[in-house]
Amino acid sequence: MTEKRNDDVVLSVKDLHVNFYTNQRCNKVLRGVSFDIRRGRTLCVVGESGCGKSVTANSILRLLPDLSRIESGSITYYKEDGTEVRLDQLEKNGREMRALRGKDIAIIFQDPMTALNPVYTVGYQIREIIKEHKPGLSRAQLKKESIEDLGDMGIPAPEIRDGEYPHQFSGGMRQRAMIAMGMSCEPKILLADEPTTALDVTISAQIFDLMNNLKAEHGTAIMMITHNMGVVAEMADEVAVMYMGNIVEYGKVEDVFANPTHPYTKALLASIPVLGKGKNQQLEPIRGVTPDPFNRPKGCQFCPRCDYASFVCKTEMPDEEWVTEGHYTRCFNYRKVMADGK
Amino acid sequence: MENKEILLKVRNAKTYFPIKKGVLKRTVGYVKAVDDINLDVYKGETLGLVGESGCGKSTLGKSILQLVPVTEGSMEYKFEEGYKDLRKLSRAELDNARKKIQIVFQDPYSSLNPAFTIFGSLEDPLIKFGMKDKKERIEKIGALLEDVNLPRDYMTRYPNEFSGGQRQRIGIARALSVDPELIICDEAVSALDVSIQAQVLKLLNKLKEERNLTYIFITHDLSVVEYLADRIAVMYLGRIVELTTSEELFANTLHPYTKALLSAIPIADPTKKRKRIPLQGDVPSPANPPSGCTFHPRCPECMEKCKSERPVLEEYVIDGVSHFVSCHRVKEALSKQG
Amino acid sequence: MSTINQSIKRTALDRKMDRIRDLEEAGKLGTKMTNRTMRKLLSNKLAVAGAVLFVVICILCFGAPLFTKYSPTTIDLRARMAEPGGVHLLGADQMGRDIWARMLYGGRISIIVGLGSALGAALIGVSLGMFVGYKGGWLDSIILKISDVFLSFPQMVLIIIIVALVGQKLENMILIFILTGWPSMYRMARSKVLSLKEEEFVQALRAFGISDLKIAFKHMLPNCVGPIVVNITLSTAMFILQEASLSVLGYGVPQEIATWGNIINVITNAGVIRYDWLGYWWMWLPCAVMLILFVLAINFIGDGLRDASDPTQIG
Repeated sequence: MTEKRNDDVVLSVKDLHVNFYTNQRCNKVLRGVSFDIRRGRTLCVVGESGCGKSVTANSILRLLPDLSRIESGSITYYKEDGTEVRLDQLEKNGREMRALRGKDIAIIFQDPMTALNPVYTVGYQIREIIKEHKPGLSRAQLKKESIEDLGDMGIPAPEIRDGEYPHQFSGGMRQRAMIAMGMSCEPKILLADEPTTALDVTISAQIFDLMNNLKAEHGTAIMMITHNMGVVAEMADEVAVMYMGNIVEYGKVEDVFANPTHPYTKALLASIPVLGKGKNQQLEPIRGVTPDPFNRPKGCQFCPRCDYASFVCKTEMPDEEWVTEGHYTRCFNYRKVMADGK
Repeated sequence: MENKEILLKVRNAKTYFPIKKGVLKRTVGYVKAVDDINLDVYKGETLGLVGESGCGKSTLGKSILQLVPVTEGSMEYKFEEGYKDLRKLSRAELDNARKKIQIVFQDPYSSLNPAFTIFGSLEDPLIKFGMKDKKERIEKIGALLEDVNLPRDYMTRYPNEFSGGQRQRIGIARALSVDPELIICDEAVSALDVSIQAQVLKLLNKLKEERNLTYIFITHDLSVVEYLADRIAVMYLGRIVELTTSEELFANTLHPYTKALLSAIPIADPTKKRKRIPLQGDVPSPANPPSGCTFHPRCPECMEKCKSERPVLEEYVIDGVSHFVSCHRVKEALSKQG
Repeated sequence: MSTINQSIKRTALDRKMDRIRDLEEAGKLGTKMTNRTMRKLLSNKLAVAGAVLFVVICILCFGAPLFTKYSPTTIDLRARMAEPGGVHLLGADQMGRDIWARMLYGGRISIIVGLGSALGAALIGVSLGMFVGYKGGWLDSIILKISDVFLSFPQMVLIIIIVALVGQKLENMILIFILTGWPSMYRMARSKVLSLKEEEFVQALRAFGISDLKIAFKHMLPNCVGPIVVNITLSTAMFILQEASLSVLGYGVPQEIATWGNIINVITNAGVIRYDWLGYWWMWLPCAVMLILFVLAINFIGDGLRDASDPTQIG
């Protein structure tokens, strides 16, 4: 995408195709996804369930299920010393991949209730990760680190909490412990897969503040997956809107919200109630339903539900078109969409 | 609002779940899921019930339907022959009440029986309420499906053939099948994708117009409730902390908890950067609520009085709008103003 | 676009995936009408082999008069201990009864005892589990305790004690198996019901005031059919084995009725044979093989059904 590589780019995904082979069928979940993750920036990937946003994150860490495969494309991780690692070519569970997980790239999942092992203390689980990536620390040093990590995440009385089991933690606390685990080795990239969907708003707000602090202090690159447009507006520097396995629009968050150039983005923004707009705001539901992934439209995936569709949309998937610097869309008729105003 | 007809009067309702421990299953304490709630529901309105998980909003909904045993208090519903306490009904009267009050659930994937067709899932309530003729039932269910914008012939299909949004609409059709007056929507759109939420929200509004329904809309999502509700009750740890009209709540937020809640909600507009009111810590356990005002350990405006004395939900009329709030500080401020 | 990253070694799985992808791209894979459980069951070779074996043995046993002209009870002293071959296909026993005929007719009784007991145990265990499990309360805890008591006895000992009390009769056998078999069925049904109870469709039915009986048996039972069927097959196999072991010990179905267990019983109490049971192999070995094959067949079917109905298993 970007012609000359920006020094800030820590991870670059190019034309990624991923297929799932469950149930004796082939589901093309990702159909050519490209984006960059930059140092100290947050990329939000937004889309409805089944659009492939979680699959994107899992492909980066090579955590895809057994019956799935990266078909083509590349995932390149740029190490600090200047070397490039092709993540897509590493062995799925090989030594190199495992060394990168947690230390360079960490992931936090949606459900904090199941992501921690209930039979070990939280502190023990954090130390396990530190031990893996920083061998040679003494017991006391390890303990000090894990307590520090918990404290950094705003968990009160970390000395006590360190020795407690996950069931003694509330949902928000567990998610913070998960982030503490994720951040324990100061990764360069943090992948967050719907980190607050299972949490209450006041707790989510705390988690978001935490993530923003990490970004500011350590320059962590964050890729956050969400379905909530509010979260995108609040957190993102860049946003990628996904629909049925493609990024249909990508750009700076202000640009995308102010000038949605893809009909899907536009329809999505028009379909959600916005706080503060009151009872009389107009909601425009997107018509139709998301297509069956095994029976996809031939051309543009959004075509059957699109108000701007023209003849060519039925047969061809549009390529990325640059609207402005750093803002692209995959729509043949984006000029019409833009001219229509908001 | 005074001139409006009250459909449901909830007075001092308490629903406590006993915590049992040990071999003898002795009760060692109570989870106070619903703790002393007073609430009027007017005919034809949409009342939003908002709060975070564990605040007791769903339990209150189920308590009204008598799906969970209510510990104390009264819930008087307006029947043709006058108000009657739902807790003290005979079996036959309770059946009659269940024709008037229905519920729509949150999870579209568990709310339909996977082993039955849609017709099979929807016909039993009709049989129970006297529709013995199968043709009549087919006709009725077909009409219900059309009411929720689904084709008639979907009734022969199984739930796994439907998307989340379609299932949720079938769930709504089921609630409508007995022609209720009051529908309790328990997080009815929370599990749906954003683009589908709008469809269901619009459908709910349409049905309300057509059938003159009253909704109690339980949700954690304030932006949804703002779109839908006439009045909003904010709950915290089993109690209502603030209750007023939707416009008033957003324009003139009084309770510190509501303020914090509103400030925490991410708004889908990157140009609006607001100041967040940070809340410390987590919601305390309803089994062991803090003394005094239950919100005091997290409250940024906490005073000495809040720690010991429990505030009551009091009505203030501000510019002609009734505004209930339970907070010492608000009371002080408002009484100074006179 | 369709080139896979070459540096990764290609496995059989990759080739299988390629095949599926090519078919999919050619549009040859449609939504199949046969359901997934059926397809998974049919692709399980052991289960299919088990089913075939099961059907063959059942046809042989229940169509016994078509496959042998002898009666299982006719004593022919001239044919005492006749070796296999000759007029008696598998030889004859110490009283000159045709072994092949006894095996087939005996199979009837064994299968009826096994299947009948399993169905009976399922009927009691599942009905109790569904209804009492759904209602909960004191009745549930009492029945749970009773089933605990049954399950904590060594089953064989329990059966032998009851046999001693009520006497050796075919009907008694089935009753005893039902009596000792229901607790595990009850527990299975109960645990399934406890998870179904929280489903919102059950809550919705309650909100309409539908009766508990109807909710339990009309609405919840169809959702438990999978595990119930699996359990019935597996306990059929278990009961057939138990019947055989009891008969071999001499506590089972009365000696004069041919069952698989009673046929094998010769090795324990029939004079000469007891001391040279290897020499008289035809009197018990074919029957033992038949028994093993039949039980294996049922177990394969049961395992296949369980895997097929388990959504977490890939296929």
